[in-house]
Amino acid sequence: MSGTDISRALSFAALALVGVESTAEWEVDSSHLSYSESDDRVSVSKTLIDLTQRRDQTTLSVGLVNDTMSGASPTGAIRSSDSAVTYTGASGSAATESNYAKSHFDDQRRQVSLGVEHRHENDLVMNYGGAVSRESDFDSFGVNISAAKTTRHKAGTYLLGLAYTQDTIYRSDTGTTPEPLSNMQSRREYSEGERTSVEALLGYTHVLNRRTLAQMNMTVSRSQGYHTDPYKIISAADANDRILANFYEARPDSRLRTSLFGKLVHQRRDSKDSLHTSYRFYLDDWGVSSHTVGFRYRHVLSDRQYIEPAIRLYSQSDADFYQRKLQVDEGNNPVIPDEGIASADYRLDSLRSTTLGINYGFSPTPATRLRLRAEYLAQRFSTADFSSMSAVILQASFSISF
Amino acid sequence: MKSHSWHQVNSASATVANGVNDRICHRSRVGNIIALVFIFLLTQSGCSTFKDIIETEQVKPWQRGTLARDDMQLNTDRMRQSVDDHIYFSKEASTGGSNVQGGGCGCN
Repeated sequence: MSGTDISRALSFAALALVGVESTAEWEVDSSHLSYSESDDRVSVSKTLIDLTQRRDQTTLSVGLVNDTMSGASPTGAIRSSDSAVTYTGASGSAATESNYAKSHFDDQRRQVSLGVEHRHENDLVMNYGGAVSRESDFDSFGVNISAAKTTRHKAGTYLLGLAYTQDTIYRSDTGTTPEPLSNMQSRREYSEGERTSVEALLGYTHVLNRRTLAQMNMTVSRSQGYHTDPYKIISAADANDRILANFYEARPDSRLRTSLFGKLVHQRRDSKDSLHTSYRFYLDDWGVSSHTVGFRYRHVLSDRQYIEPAIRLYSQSDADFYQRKLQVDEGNNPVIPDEGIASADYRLDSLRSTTLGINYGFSPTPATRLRLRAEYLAQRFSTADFSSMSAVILQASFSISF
Repeated sequence: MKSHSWHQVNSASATVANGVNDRICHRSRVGNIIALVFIFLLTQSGCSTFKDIIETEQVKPWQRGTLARDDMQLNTDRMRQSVDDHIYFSKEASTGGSNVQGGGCGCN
């Protein structure tokens, strides 16, 4: 999407918001994220701005996101210093295969999103949304619609949501994608990859009692098209990890994802403190299954302040086609899987993530809110050469209503 | 060139995996202990909190003041949720669950 298209989208949203009634309420919410991984890996600086206008029955919102991403990311190539192949490095000097274990990048992503919520007379709330984003190697367009219907006596709410996404993927340096499982030295270029996704959600929220709310969601998502990461590599190496060649990875051209999500919110009887806990079970047809548990305890310090420790635990199994490297046969020829699919992307490995954090909220005035967050994320991988990753997450958000 | 079955790959990597799994088991025990500490702190108030959670009642309109509080919403901070969705979409193989929204990024 070009800068002109983004400008037009913003203009349309601004015009929609400008036609206000005198009873409209406005809220501006802004946030800045600093995400930084150890060992000079990925760093992300993200700025988000949401502009929301609430009318009697309609809420309009416009969102802007600007990401700046840089650093070095594991490619999937193994970290062996014993290589039979020498390439010319990016600077023009000779480089060994071990230098391909990480790839450096510097990218920027911009996203614009629009949302409309309409509250009907019969306890039906409709939401319509859309988003477009662009970065140097990825364009995305998505729309979503959802309907929430509250039951009689307001004991519960049913939710049905649908989303459609269209993505275009390509290498930032060439605008193309490499032939799947092709040798890096003799790679052939294909055109950019296209992928479409459809997602459906069915949910129910129930009021258990005057202090407790429970939610259960079931989601199904089907994506078709290009799923490969055009930068990721898988090494062909012998039993001693001597690299014979590096290949571009290849993933299936479809993916079916399912998840079951539950959430519980409860305020304690003897205070204003509240518990927020959630669990998600995820399963897809790539063989990945995962469990995610989240827990936050909001301790109210005063009418205007709270502190909230949080923990998130995650574990996943590896994808069926994930492997650390391609094996070689007696003749030192790479063994290509019969299905023509293989990836050494560490994010498809069996892994565990633990996130510990603390959130702090303060309202200087009734119309303003400041939120601060500091978290530490640690990941451990089962077989990937880069066996661990840690990151510090810092986020500051400020909103004002008028 | 395709000369052997897919299954040879998995048996060769098992030896490497076993040595690494010991480190992972130890460190994941740390995460489990932290989780247990959280649960212990949560249950400091005894069984009353658990009973309060599972107790069901038909809530009258004038009894919904607590449920209307900002900190009692299913999503108390859209900015944090948006950032979390992006981070974990980039770093893990699972997505979704709490909502549906079109659009994405090239981070996975």
